[in-house]
Amino acid sequence: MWVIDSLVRSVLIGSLYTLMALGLTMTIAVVRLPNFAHAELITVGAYVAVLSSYLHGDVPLAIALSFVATAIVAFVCHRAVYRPMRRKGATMYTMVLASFALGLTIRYILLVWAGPAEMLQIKPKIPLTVLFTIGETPVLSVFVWSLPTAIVLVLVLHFLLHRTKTGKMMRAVADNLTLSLVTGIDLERIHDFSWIIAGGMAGIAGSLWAILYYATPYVGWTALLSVFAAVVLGGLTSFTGAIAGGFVVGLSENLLMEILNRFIGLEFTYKPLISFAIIVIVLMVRPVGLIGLLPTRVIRTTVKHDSRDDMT
Amino acid sequence: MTPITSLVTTFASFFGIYMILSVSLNLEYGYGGQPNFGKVAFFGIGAFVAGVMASRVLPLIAGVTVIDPLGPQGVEVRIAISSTRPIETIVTFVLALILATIVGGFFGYLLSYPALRIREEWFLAMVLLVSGEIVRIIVRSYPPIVGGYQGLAGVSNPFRWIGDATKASLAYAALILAIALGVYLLVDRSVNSPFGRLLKSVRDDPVASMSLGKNVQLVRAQVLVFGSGLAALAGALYAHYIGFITPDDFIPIRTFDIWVMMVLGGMGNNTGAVVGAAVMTIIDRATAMLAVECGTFSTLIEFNYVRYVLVGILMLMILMHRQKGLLPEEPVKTPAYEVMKN
Repeated sequence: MWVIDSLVRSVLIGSLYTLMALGLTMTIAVVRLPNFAHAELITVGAYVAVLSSYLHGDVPLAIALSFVATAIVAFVCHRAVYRPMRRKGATMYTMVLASFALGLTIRYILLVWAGPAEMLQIKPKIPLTVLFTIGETPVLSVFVWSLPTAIVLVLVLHFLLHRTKTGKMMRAVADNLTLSLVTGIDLERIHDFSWIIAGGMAGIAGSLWAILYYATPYVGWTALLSVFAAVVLGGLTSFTGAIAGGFVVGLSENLLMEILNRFIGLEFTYKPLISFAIIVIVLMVRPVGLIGLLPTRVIRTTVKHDSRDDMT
Repeated sequence: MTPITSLVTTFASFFGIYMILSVSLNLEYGYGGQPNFGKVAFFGIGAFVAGVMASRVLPLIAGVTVIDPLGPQGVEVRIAISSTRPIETIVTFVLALILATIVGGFFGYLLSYPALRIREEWFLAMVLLVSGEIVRIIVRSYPPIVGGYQGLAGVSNPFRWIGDATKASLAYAALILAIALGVYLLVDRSVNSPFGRLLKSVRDDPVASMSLGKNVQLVRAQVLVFGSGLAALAGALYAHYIGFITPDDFIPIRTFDIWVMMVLGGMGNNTGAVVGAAVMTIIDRATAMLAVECGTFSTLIEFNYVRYVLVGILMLMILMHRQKGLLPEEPVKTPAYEVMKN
């Protein structure tokens, strides 16, 4: 039954998009940087998962190692590039360009390395077992990892943002930078922490992607615009919105695409247009995204984005 | 063709094309403050227009019926016409350049619609970036335009009828350089005119210019139309130089290359944009030559990838240490300024 097939795939991919979108939302909301190098954090996570499977073919190990490695990469990028630039008073566009340049550099370094290492398209060495089948879709044991991991991570992030002091500080910085500085929040620490979390989440998403499909140096870049679509749909700075956006993009790229293909005859080569259309339409027509369509209790966590706030 | 002439012609042709792109982006962002992250779309549109002209209009003007303009027969017909009939070839080529500029300008006008309405700083950059990808994916998935993902071959050098390949490519390189020089002079004149000063005022403080009765929206739209038309002109020249049009040539990395040229040279400085284009051409040619030289060892290092690593690191270095570029922006040259200086 193609509907069930497509639904399963939508939910799986949607949960990965959600993880990627949460990290990106964090950099946009707290650090105020639409980080194009987020794509390469995902790719790094995917490759760490592959490499870790050579040590020991185990899903939790791959996820944990990816988290650590990618968090380190994100932290180093922040300290080596973004923080010095910000201190020199770089504008938003220069920061965006720098993130693009950084991502490009990492991507092509990976390509230079992956070619000779014969890792241009590779799956982690993790044994696959079929647990059960829905319709005709076999559900592999590794599949079972992605959705629960995503759910657990979202819950952990929610706990972190709402129940811990650091999390509250992060939300305060996202909400009103000037006010949070006045109350004596250590911005450097919050930024460091946000980068570690954002990078780690991207890494986990990348490792799950590699386990489900395969790793290539383009993994993150191919997913990036869909992830941006999810973030834009979620209202850019809302974590709840990012979760909703991730699943909506996952559904529309799979189930909706399948429906369009079957009933209108739209070819699958047009698939990327769906998320592109989401970005263009939402940014032009309704830049706040899904916020406002969700019940008010949910949007308590959301913040208003004001670019005119100083970027420290 | 001797290696030296071939090096000179490739260098000159690429330099000319890059120069047009870099100068037009400098006009849009350096002077006008419009972050065109979709530059490649207009470059591509120019190339696609040139492809449509070469595959449909060239046989039409020459009076040859082609059953299958995108297939192998079409390639043969195009090559045959451009090798033997100078007048038809040149007429189509000139028409292609003009039409590409017009179509590019038209799409620039279409994109100025979001540009004038989106408030948030980087939303516009995002929308333009995505628009570039939308253009590429539509052309790639819809074969009747330029053959879809398989591309279109046989868009020939307009001087092929000379007969001698070296002379033809030298002539074309000279033509590209001449057009690039013309574009440079045109843009340089306009940014040192009242229009240029209006552009800078809109970039630096739109509210202040509005209070002086300037139509900020109109200026922004004008600069996008102007820049996009020039980028499409470069695209048409590029298509005739490479001779083969494939939509996958027009990926976002190309936009990034153009940004590197402009930022490297110096935003808001046309000479800087030319210097940036020259540096980019040198990097391009050097890595391409290394890739050919080390062809036997290509399993060890892929030089096409090394090129991007170099360009990425170069861009990061400029952005971190010399944000104004090699040649920073200079004061506007007006008669009053010249008097004050003396």
